[in-house]
Amino acid sequence: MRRLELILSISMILFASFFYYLTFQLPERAMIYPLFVITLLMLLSMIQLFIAYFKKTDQESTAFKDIKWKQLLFVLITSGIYVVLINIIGYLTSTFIYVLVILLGLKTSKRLSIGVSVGFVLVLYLLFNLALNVPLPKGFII
Amino acid sequence: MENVLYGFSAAFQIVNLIAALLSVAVGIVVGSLPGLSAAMGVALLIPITFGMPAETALIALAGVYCGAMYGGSISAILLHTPGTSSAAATAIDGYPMTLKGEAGKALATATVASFTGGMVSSVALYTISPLLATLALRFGPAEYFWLSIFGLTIIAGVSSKSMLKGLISGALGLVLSTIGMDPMLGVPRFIFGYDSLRQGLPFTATLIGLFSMSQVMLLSEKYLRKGVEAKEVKDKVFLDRSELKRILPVSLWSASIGTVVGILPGAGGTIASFIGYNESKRFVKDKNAHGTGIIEGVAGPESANNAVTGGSLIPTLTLGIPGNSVTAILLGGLVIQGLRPGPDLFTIHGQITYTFFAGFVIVNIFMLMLGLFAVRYFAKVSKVQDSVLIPIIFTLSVIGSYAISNNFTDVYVMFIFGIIGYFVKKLNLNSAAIVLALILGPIGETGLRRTLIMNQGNYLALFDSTISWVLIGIAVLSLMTPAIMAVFNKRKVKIGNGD
Repeated sequence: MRRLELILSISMILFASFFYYLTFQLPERAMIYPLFVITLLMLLSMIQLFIAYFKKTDQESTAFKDIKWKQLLFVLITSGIYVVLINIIGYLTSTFIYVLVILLGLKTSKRLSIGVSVGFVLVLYLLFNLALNVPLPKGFII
Repeated sequence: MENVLYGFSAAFQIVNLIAALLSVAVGIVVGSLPGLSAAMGVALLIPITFGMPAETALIALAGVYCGAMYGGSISAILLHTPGTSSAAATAIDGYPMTLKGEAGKALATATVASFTGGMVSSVALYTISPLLATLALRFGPAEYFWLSIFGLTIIAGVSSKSMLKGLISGALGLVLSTIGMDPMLGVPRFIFGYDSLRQGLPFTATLIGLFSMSQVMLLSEKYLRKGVEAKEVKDKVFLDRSELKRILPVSLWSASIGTVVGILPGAGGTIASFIGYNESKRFVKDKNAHGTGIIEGVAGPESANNAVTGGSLIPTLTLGIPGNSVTAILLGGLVIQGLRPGPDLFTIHGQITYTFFAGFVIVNIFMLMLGLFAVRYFAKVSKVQDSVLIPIIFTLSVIGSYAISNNFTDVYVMFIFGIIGYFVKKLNLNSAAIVLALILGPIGETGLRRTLIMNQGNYLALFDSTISWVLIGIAVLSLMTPAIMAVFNKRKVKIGNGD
């Protein structure tokens, strides 16, 4: 718990410092309000740092226990690639590939994986394109 | 009155009826799936409602909110896993009923109680909100500044776990809210070369990231649920007259409490349902009956948590202060439709608002019907595997964040905030507090700086009016709510255990 709180407060302090640095590049009259809120974040994070540092009793944190890192990273990276891919080959095609890859990667049965990805893309197309008229990101396919 | 009647006639238009029915159904599905929250459902729906007329969009959003609040009870009763945290109290008596083979009766009770809760809170919506809105007419920039300060103090209430972390979340939200144009000078701040950030962080994309994509990561980090076997609903989903008589007083009483809890900023469904559960003990003679599977124990929490929906809409619509994350997102939806919370909603836009209110009533009626006649089918939904949910939620998050302004930068913002949202949850920070600060930051900043400009930089102008002092007063009071709630809850528990 304590270690996590230290990490949290330090990253908040770093974040605030970065924004401090950016604020000083603004014109003087535009600086006041951002400075005020950034200082607020800075002060609160320092209090948190102080409390976490001098904390004596500590219980073990369960937040990052038993995490399936491989599975999480697989989903996250595939999702990242998917987002980039949309711009290149279009939303519907990349969605079909993405859903199929994730389902198979998460060890869903082949029949269900194919069924879900085909069905889902079809529903998306009908719903967004035809019924709701919500524009989908386009690429060189669709 | 004219508007009220108009509202009903407009709400009965076929588009609005369809929107209400479908959104309640979607809400029930979202609510009944453990791991998916009402906030997520509403965030994903905003882009879909974007192209609809304002009133239809609002009805759809409210439908998901109400449906999800109720849907949580289905998995609480059948699986002993509350679909939403607000349904945790429902499981205490709901699951034992399922074990006794009375699942149908439990579901019927939850449905009728949720309906009662929703209806009672809609009465409050009709009566209290216009009054509160008239008050907002007398607000100037100074008052808006204090109003936003009051809203920010809610953060202390929202974050019952650690007030400091709640405040840090709020401060983080305030810093993020400075991204975009300076409201007085027109200088771009912190836009990192992205022109689309001049308008500020894209609100919906940020929310979808914080609430939906983070959920995708939370689902994928653990052992994946392979469609659990829900217990079969063997008996009829039905209550006879004597049973209705038993749950009606409980439901009405809990609904009133739930409505008040909903209006109070920062409390929300979970607290309401536990208070509702404890209150239901007043209505049962046998003091040891609770926990063994009695209908009063299901009716109390279910009616209380659905009463929160209408209650929590009141401060959101009249003052622009959402008390929980769902209404914060709903407020975002309102703003996208070009509507500003406050007195205008009840005068200029009165027709839209009252159509929405009537729609809220209709939503609750549909919820009752779906609950009584189709709950068996909804129960099947809780069998959907996590591995199917993961890609579906993510693709919807992408399309949702893109559709608002057809801008792919928003998708990147959503992705970044998804990762931030994951760590926010892991480190016990508070996403609702971040969202509140994102909404209130600009209101407060503009109010403060306008007051100062109008009064040649004289800070005392902030303290000129009585309303300002009242707002300062309730802000101080709201800072103390966690302490007051703690005492209140302790007393409740004592009453519960003592006699």
